[in-house]
Amino acid sequence: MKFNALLSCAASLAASLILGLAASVVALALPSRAAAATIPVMTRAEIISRAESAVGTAYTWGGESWNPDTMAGAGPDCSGLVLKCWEVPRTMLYQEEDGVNATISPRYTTAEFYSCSGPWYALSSRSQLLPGDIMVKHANGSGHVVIYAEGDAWGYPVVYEAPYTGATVRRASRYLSSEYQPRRRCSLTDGGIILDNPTAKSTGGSDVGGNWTRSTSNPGYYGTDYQVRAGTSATAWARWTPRLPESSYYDVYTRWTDGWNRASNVKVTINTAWGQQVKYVDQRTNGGSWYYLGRYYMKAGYYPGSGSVAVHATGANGYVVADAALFIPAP
Amino acid sequence: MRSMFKPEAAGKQVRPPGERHVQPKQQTAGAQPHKAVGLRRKCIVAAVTLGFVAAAVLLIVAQQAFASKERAAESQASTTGSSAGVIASPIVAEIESEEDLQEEVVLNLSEDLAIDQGSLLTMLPWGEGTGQVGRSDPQEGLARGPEALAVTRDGRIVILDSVNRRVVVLDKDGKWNSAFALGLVESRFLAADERRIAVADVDVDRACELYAWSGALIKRMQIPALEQPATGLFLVAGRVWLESGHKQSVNLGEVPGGARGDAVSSGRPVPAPGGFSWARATLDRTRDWTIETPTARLSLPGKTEVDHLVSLDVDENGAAFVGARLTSGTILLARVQRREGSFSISKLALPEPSGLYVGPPYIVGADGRVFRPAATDAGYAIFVHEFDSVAQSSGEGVAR
Repeated sequence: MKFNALLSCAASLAASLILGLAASVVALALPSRAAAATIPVMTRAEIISRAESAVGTAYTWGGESWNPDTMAGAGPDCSGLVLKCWEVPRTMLYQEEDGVNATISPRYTTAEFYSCSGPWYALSSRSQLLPGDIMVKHANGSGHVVIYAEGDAWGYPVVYEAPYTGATVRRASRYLSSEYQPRRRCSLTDGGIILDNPTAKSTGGSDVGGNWTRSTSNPGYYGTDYQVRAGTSATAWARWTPRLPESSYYDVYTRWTDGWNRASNVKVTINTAWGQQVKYVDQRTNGGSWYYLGRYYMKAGYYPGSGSVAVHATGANGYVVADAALFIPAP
Repeated sequence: MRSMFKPEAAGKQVRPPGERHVQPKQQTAGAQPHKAVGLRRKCIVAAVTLGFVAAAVLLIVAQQAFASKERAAESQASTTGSSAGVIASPIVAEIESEEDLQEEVVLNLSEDLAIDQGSLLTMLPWGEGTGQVGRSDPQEGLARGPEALAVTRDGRIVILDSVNRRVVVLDKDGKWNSAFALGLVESRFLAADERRIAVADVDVDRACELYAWSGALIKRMQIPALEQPATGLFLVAGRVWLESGHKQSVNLGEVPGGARGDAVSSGRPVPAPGGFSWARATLDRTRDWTIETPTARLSLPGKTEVDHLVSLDVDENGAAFVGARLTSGTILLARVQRREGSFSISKLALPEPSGLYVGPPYIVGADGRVFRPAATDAGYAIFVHEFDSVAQSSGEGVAR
């Protein structure tokens, strides 16, 4: 009797532990899902155009009420400039123009821009900066963020910024120390081509080999889910082939969701116009952001052999995730 | 032809990894008849409670681990390259010709160099009174102190105390001398010579004001439309120039024999025998800079080691100074000096600024000393760096 009672007790403990863990997973995943909320696809030119329309408006702490079309209204603070130029969240633009700014949520600040708590991601180097990206600094409860416009004749950063109370939004040449970290908005059309995991075809084609499973168990994925497969000795890969507009250099990225059960030796092959390059990545860490694979010369059009990237489960020592790939024309 | 580019930074991540989760395995407890129903119910209740407590603990641990990783990543990002004692890419010059100044001097990035901390010249506490300069540290905005610094040939120091909207004058030993208020709203640029002080607001008033050292306003000049943002203000050979985009300069004063609008020149004005000349730098598609100065024509292979140029100056002895920010965050400054038909090259590695924004990271004085402003908890500091005091930095030109 007692044995059966203990059995029931153990079973209940296990079941509730599972339930609790599942709740934990959901709880932890919530911020990430909120962060991955749908935002409109934009061009870099649109971002710069919006920033330009704010030049001359007065810095207003906590505000972002200028109307990009009429160039009227009170100006933004530094984070207000970015969230309106980036349209994050989507409702911002229309709520502000209707004068209903009290209901805006989330109202991203430099803290969120710095920690990537929204639909944007960190760049591994400021040498990758393109017009419309941002540089953000945040420490000890305060921070500043600027929109990168271009590099001048010296490569010196030219930025849009809402500097401080009493000043106006300006386009300025500014020295940016290492405290400023580069970030890039998701869903940019002319900034690159994003191909989501193989079952969710995007602006190009994709090929799948082996048995991959769609999942949303771990957060940090791009789009609606990711693709996962256990490491195997059999052939198993997921390949993204974009339809590239021109033969050129491209900065190539991929992403995954990390976890203790992931493989630390995932083989990634990049098929370039000059042959195949091989890299290995550790998917137990660095999940939820775009991982920079390098800059490669790729052929225009749809050519898996000379313009694609593939993630391999073959030979991996754990689960392998194929979430998405990103191809950005090199400046 | 462009080569396959594989930056060393490839694969490095700034953003901390996302949360880690354990995927629970599905288990089912078989339902078996049992007589000890009361005991079982109690056990179930206790187990469920324990399970949720355990899960909550795991959740907290996971969140703390994630937060800890975030903090570590932020810490790493904020210190990258800014405080290292040694860097891997100083400038070394190779000289081809001893006679022809048109021959190119190549500045390479190829050896270690210790970061020079300089010597403290003065420290002005934060505030708005005499002997102080202002700081502003908004929650969402640019945290700043004085945004510009100038040093005259005789060593006097001028500070643009932006927050207090005034100009502060120090003696050559860094002691407070005087201050006068500015009428401009957003002054960001400053220049000075032995007779005058020039201040420019390129954003709101779009004007440059010329003052006597006493603080008396001499002249106000409107700033014309610029193709690129302003990048420097210069008082050279008695003329006031405003540089835009590190590319061209506009003469804001009268030009004998021509209208002001005609006076747009490529490059920035620098002292030269007989008055002034021009220095300019251009970046080509392979990320190499070609730098032209009255002293020498320089080539700086930038590639991936150089983020951007920081400065281009010529001192009163004709030595050329080229500063660059490396991708590591270190600022590298090279002095190219012509001596008896040959060239002497020295270099300095400077720490990168942090904290409040205090304008350009340094300025080169007329005598070749380097003045570096820094924001500290105690106040606004000015450090002085001298090339000749850095033993390992000097070297004669080597034939290429």
